[in-house]
Amino acid sequence: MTSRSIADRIHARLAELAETSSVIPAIPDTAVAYWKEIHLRLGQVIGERAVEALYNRSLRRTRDQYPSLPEGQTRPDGPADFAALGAALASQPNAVALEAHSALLHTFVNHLASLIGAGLVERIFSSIASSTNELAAPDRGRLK
Amino acid sequence: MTIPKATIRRLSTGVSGLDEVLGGGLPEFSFNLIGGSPGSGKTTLAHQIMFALASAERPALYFTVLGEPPLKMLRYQQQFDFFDHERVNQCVHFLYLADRLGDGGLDSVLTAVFEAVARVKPALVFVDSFRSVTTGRHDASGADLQQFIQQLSVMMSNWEATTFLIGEYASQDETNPVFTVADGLIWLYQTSQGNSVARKIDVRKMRGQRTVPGLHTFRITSEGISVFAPPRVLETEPPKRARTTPRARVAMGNAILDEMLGGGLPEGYSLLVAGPSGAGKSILAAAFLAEGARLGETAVIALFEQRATFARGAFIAGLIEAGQVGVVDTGAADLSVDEVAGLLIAEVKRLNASRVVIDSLSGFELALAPTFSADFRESLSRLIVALARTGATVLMTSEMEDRYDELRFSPYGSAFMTDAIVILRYIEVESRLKRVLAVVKVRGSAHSDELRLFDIDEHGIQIGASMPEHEGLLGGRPRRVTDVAALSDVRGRDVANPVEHL
Repeated sequence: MTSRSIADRIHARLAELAETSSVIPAIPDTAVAYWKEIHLRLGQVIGERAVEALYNRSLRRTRDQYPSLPEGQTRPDGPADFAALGAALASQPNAVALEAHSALLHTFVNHLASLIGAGLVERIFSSIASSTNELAAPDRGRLK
Repeated sequence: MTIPKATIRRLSTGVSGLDEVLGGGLPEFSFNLIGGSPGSGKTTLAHQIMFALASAERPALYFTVLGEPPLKMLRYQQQFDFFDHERVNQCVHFLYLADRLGDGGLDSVLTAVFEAVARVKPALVFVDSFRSVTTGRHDASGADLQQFIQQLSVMMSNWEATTFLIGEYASQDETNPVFTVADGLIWLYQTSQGNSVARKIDVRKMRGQRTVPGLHTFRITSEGISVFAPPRVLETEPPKRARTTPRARVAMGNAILDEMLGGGLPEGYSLLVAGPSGAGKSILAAAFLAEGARLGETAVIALFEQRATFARGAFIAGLIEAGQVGVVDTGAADLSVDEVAGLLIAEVKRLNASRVVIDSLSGFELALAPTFSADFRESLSRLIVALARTGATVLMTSEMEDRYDELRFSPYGSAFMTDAIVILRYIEVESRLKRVLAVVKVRGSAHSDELRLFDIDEHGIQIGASMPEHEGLLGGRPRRVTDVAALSDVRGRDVANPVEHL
């Protein structure tokens, strides 16, 4: 399994959610939950500021193609504003939000993989994915 | 009834040669400091030990506090073969605590460590790193580093975790309380001289076991760290008992030389073949190897002057190809004698080799990092002793320029180290450059005292006659003995001018 596949898996879960959930904020909420989990879990390994720097850089790079995404912090290691991401995704139709988020996630994962290798990213993200299974499951009750 | 003592299990570090220097491995549940300057290999050593020891039953927890940023650490450490990313987050866990240090000081770090230890239940704990331990600096929360280490040590011992604290310690001040707390002190050094870099490790302390004192060289390659313990440590076989029977003789690949040696070289002896460039030392060594191969023996060769594939033609290359002769790689930069000794002995054991060739000591010395050249003689002596303990018969060649104003039979003052010496010399006779050889010494054995002419042809060294009609060959002023009566009496006598200068 490659590092890209873990991003694909998260995207697939969000896409599944978009199809099965009748709750409007399901995608933004779940995406934000993912990012908080990434921030927490990955931050334990490489430091929260390193995660925030990666996140802000990924936002800036992805925003060229998806201007609806938030700008991110001016300072590269400024705190990550996941709420702003959630709000930006919520303002878009599901399909657009999904695509933008997928692009952001891939940029982030690929950037991280270029630094520490796809294998290690896969290992770290596998624990994130497993811990967020419940979040990704189409359980409306949790998302309300 | 005797009360059983506590049993200290020793963990194998997975670092080649380190267990020997540690005195048998790392004591389980010990609290160790790994110190050294930046770039000396501390983090690499810690990772290598961690990946060697970590398992599902023995999880490892690696805290990064003030060391290099984890992104960089992980980026570079995974370049080593030992780094197995499949085990990350399974039995190897990384935890970044620098933020905690900034937020709440060392108290907060300590709390985070304890929480993580309680959660992961590690058997191995690494804390990387602290720079200021020796200064006794106090942090804002009032918990100084020494207290931190003291508490960490107690906590980890109670948790039954083998712990490593990695730090850029400024000195090895043995009065520092931190060093008293530690069960083990492992120091890494890196010294530069010209374009040469030498790395050394010093196990200053390892409670409960006898370490090998002193500085030991190590090398960092893609496989990680390899420590080169002194050869005597590597040798595990008990010394042979005093010999009561004569040694068997080893054929040299030249019947006349065997005869000159008194029937071949005694088995297990070390022979130094010394002479000027081009005199035939390597050819003699090749004959020694070829004879071994002919008898079905295996051999090991350390080449410092010629590549193995080019050395002495296709025949030796064929023996190497066939695995009958093992080659020790001497191409690495900045070698140490201990490193070469370790490689040689390992190869001798692997092949169960009965013959060893080092060609040449002169090239060997040049291949050493300058820092090791100073004690080359002592190190060489250790190497020869260690090789002798393997039971192999050793032939070493050595470049020795012809000097006609003094009689020398070996460079480096190494004559006493070896059991036998053969010298090769150039002489001028009748306006021709001729070669002669002589057996200078065979310990405990009668041997020829003749100077014999020899030629080199496609079959090797062809030893010819001695030159009783000449004398003074080694003094640079050869003379022909013209008086027939004196000729028969020439040896050892001062004949009143019975010679003419050539």
